[in-house]
Amino acid sequence: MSDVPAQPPPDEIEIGWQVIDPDGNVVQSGPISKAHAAAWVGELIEAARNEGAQE
Amino acid sequence: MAGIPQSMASNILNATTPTGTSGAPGTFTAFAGSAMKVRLNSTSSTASAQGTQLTGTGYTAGGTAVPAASTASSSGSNVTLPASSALSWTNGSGSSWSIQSFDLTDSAAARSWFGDFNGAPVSVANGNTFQIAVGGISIGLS
Repeated sequence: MSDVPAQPPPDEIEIGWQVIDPDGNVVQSGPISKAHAAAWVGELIEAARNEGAQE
Repeated sequence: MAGIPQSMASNILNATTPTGTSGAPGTFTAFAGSAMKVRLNSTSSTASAQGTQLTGTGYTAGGTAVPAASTASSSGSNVTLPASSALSWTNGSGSSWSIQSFDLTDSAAARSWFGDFNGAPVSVANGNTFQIAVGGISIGLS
């Protein structure tokens, strides 16, 4: 029995946006856009900790 | 690059740390109470500044309000938008739009999140429609 990849095949990627021509045809599309904040907030918290340690 | 603007980061930090009176949590500065908006930009937004907003017929400055409430996050899950129906803009500006990024704002233009569109810049010829599918934007804190 072979290992099965966990990720879906490319044709199952959810479309996040599309460009449609006046006839209703999809001329371009792209996957979901993600906004992630964790890394950014983590940097701020670390900076605040370092600032506090210096005081 | 995607994330939250500096103002929002400070808002979160202040509301969840002892920056309030006598070491109580600080106050979260609430957003306006009407439907939030998605703003489209021709350049990338950053933590300190929003991108350059689209202009021309078919795009209303400030962005377009989301159609309905998104499903609330639980157990740390992402929030996706728009809910219930797609957001659409038909370019009638007379020239192509180049769409790079979005900002999620409250109804009074205060920013909460931003990000580039995957595949950006997206070229939208005059007469064509740019559409964000239901759930086309996914926002997470993990």
